[in-house]
Amino acid sequence: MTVRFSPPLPVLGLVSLLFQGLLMFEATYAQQPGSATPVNWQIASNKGDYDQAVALALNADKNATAKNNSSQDNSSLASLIAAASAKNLATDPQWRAFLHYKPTSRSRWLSQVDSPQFFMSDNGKRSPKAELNATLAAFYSTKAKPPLRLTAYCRFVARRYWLAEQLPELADLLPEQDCPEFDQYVRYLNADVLTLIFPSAHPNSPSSAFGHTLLRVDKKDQRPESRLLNMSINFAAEIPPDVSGAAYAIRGLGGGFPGRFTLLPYHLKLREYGQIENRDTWEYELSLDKPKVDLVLRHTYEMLISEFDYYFFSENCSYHLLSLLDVAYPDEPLTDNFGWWTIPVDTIRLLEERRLVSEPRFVPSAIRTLRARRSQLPDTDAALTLKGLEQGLPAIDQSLRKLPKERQAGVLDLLSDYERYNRLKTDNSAQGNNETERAILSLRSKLGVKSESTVIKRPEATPESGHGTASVALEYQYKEDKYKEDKANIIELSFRPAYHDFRDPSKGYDDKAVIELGLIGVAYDLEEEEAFFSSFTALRIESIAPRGAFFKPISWKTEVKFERPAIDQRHQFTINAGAGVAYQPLSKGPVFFAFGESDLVDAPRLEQRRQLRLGASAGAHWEPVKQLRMGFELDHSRQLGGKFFESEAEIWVAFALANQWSLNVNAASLKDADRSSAISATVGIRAYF
Amino acid sequence: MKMFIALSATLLVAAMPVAQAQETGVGCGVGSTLLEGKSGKGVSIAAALINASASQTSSMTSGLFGCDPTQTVSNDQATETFVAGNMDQLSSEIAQGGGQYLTVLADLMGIADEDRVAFHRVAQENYDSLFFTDGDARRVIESMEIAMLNDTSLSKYAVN
Repeated sequence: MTVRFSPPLPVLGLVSLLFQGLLMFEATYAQQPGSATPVNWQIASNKGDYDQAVALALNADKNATAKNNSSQDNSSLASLIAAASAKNLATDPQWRAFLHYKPTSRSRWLSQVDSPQFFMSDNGKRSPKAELNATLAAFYSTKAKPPLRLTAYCRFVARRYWLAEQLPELADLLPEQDCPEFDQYVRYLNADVLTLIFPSAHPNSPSSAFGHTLLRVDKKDQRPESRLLNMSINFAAEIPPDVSGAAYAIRGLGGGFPGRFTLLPYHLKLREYGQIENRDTWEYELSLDKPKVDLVLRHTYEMLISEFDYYFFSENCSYHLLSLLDVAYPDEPLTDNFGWWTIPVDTIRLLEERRLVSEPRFVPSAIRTLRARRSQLPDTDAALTLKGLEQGLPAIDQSLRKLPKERQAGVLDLLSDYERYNRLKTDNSAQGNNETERAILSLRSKLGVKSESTVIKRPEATPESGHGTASVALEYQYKEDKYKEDKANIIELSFRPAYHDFRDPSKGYDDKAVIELGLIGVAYDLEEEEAFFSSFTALRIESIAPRGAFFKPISWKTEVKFERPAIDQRHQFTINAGAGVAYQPLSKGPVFFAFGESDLVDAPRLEQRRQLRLGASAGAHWEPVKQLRMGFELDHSRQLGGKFFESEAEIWVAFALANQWSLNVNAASLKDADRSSAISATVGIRAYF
Repeated sequence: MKMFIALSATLLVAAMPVAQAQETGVGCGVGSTLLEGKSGKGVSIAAALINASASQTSSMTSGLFGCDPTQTVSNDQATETFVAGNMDQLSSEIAQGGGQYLTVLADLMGIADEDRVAFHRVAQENYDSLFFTDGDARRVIESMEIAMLNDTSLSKYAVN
């Protein structure tokens, strides 16, 4: 063993450099233009210069004490500061949670909030104590400090309530202010329970690849449908409309967009997820008691004016939702469990481990509802619907009228749902004035019957019951090259931060999509007794979506991969993209697929080092019984403008052992134009966490 | 290694289709801001990675009905926002004679439980007059109120 296996963290550091460091903007805080020095701390506070107010108050207090001549005016703020200091409030975990302070490497504290108006002290991002003192000074100000609209007293309510609890003297010393907006906020929300909403992933909607989370504020004893009107709390990046393409991705990954909390009626969000993006949604009621719910919502109110640089892998929607909940659990912050990346379903898993979520409620997406509706119809009626979809309503008018009203209703309901589904792919306006849909619904309304309710089964496995999103695999590989009479025994250890492959246990996951990010492998050659860096898959996505009579999705795939298959070979770097079709002739039967592929290859071992190849692949995968998955794939590609070709065949079997382990076996044969004809067999075990 | 990561990042980004950074139909308030916008192809690999949807700007949501809980929202305004945002589901459910969105609308309009059947029937019978135009939320509600006025069991709810 000549090379030490280094733990994945340094590598992840590099990955993180890539994802987070590309555009790390440190907000430059504009200094307030210096005006004439205010004479006392109250004037300074009203001018919004809270640091100076603190300094003046402490100074005046010192002078007053020296002269033994205490003035009520000067000692009010100073005595609050002294009391807070005596109780060490600046180091209280609760204070850190309100200000989103996280420890830095040199045991200092740094707030994750990136908007200056969130801090009362110019040094607030770095100094919990300066921020606490300045906050106390700010509460005395009866003027809002631009760009804020409200006084600190009325905006930073969570901090104020907490400080008032900690400092009984505060009630006497601090003049009260009316905060009608905040009162209205509390009345409007009328909160009793918080519900975590998880719009899950969907095969052909990659924007939802990992899902998303938001919170909904529920009232007491509401019926499920009434909750549609409740407010939801959403954290999202704010993306200007003119940004596109590469800038979108780089800025998005690297913190170049501001992330912000917004409040929106839940029905608008649910429409976006369920109807437009076709994502099933899971609703987990959180078991926070009423005081904790109130605390979180007071803090949410503070956060509405604040921004975070949005990092799509780490400081994303799910991370910052947890950071809101952290104010209810300051001693064990939920966010401390996430560093390099935050996958939404992992945040649910954490909440479940902490026993904070209930069994979820399932809200099916439009496409799932459509499929359920389709399966309730007799085949002849479904065929009639399809004809109406393809040839228009008049084409089926005659046949339709011969059916009993209930069956007519079934056909028209399905037809209007399909028309809507198709229209929403390109036009999500909500005006209910689409001519085609309106003609169908008009006809439908005249039948006068009520539609049968559609029965939709909740998927057996909840999202958080699936395998862990990170995994480590240990594999043994035997390789034989016929022409070169070469044999190799290789042991490979690999780590994958995220997320899911067809060979992983399918429970709780979408079984038609693969997403792998940052897979990194180190191999050891048993003959040569040497270790080598064997693979790095920056990204691999496959969406294999079977086509049917109604839905005809395109399957697609892409991969960016660096690999070194053997110790005597140099590296190969490949970017692959493919598009194709998939079919599943029998439900629960195998899924067959075929792709046209293109590869951009860089491999020093080849005569022509850089190549563009075109090719095709075909294969199938199948889960004949639970926990057992298998598949095969054939792949052939040829160099464009050259002689190189490569053919590969592979067959694999994966067996899920319990939920967090899987056993994988595969055999492959590889043949290429100038190198070799090799066969290999691999057996390995993978653990998820 | 660093070089490789930088290279792959560049290639990865270059390989990404142009992302539609446009909002997907969210927004609040009644009228134009809510109803404009097309999702386009919408999704991209970039979007796949970033695991978030673009959000509406706060200027779009502040001060509009039912989106800013710090402002008083009348029942009429909440109803209008709900109808505007869910015209698709409502038009389907009205034609079909029932559903959870229609139930919420009945709640908002203050329809008592014993009159829900009549409410569903009247809405269904008047589908054409409710949705005959450009789907303006205010007009849908008004048409519903007129239809209710002409129904013996529902006329008591139609205040105008």
